[in-house]
Amino acid sequence: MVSNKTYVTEGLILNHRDFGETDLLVTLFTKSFGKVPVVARRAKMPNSKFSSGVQLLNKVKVSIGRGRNLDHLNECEIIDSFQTIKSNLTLLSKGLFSSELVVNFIQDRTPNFQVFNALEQNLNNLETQKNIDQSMIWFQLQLINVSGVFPEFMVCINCNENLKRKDHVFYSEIGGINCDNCINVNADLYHGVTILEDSLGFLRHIQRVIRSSKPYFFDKYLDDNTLNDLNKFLRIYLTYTAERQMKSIKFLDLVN
Amino acid sequence: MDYSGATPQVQRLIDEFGRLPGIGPKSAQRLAYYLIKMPEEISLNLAESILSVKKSIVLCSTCFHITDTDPCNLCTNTYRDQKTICVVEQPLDLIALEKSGSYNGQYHVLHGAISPINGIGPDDLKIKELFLRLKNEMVDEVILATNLHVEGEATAMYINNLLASTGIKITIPARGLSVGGDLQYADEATLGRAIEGRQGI
Ligand SMILES: [Zn+2]
Ligand SMILES: [Zn+2]
Repeated sequence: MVSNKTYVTEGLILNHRDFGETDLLVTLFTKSFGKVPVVARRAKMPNSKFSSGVQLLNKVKVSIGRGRNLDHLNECEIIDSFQTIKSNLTLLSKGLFSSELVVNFIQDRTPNFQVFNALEQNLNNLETQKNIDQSMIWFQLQLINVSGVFPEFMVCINCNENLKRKDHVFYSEIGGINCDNCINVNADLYHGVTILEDSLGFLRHIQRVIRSSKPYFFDKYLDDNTLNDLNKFLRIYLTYTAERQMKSIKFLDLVN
Repeated sequence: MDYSGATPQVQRLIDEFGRLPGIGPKSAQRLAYYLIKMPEEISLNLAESILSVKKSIVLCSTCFHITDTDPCNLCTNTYRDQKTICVVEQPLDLIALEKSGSYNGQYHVLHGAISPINGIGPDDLKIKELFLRLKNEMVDEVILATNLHVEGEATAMYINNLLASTGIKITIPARGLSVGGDLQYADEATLGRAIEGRQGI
């Protein structure tokens, strides 16, 4: 598969930007080599062999030539263009948000099968419109886990006592919750977010799943209240860990 | 690229040329040294024409095309169909359509496309201005001629959704333009056929 000069792999198109007049610099998330920037020559020209292949959110099979500074596309064949996602602004906003999260949470040129599979599965769910909200939440939790910043939801961060089954305030800064006996002295400085009892029940379930590192099929039903609550928590926590808000959030909020 | 031997002023000129679209480091260097060898009068003319373009250019307050008179010549031309507006992303798309000679209506330049991942939303484009026009002008048809890439199509979808309840006929250029390519680079004949054969969404 790999020679010195070229390599062949599957990948997802995460982003691209103008590069010179008619080229695009594509952020490609490859299955085998992780996230790589690749130049797609003449991709902005209508008769280019790359113009349809390098469209955002495409799953492609590519042949890439190694360059001294930047690699470039030799061939790009579409495996799945996720047309349902692209013909629906709500689905598209979620797909692009997922892809921006990946751009921000993973390193260049470091293979990451777990995130690749998570993103691909999430796009498949959006495309088939299967449990979209659940899928988005599961995708974000996997990304947090792979990034090594999965919070503690079972016990108090300070005294290690089991947390009572009730609503609790979560602090991104400490990556967890304080019990009633260990009131957080920095509460005023920190960005606390209340997580409801049901949502915490779900997050503990996920924490156990992750710790067991057994294969897991996510099929939990979540009611609207819990979904909203989890989304509120995820937005605050992801913004904190990425040290910035995702740019696509504005559009996500506009069309959802 | 080795620039050794260039004075700081020459290097600055090379760097400035290098910012231009389609100009690589080698071409930038060639242009700079060509300019140096030119008679002074010619290089002064060039400098002056660049300056005067920058000073005289405004955006038309109706269609937002680049112009030196406001409203622009396209908007004030009474021989053009006043009841059709063709929405494009960039002034260069408008110019490409004009060159095709197949369209004789009004235009509206958005100055970009919705690009969530770059933080560009509807408010960053001339979309509000389009709706203001549709309110004040008697328009029968809006052609959504945004580029055929994900962002362009998202922009068309967004405008289409907002227009759905207005009763205005909405059309898109016919197939034949290839996915992903920018409108401005399409050949005139293809572009002409696409705009003439436009169809309802
Ligand atoms: Zn405690
Ligand atoms: Zn005008």
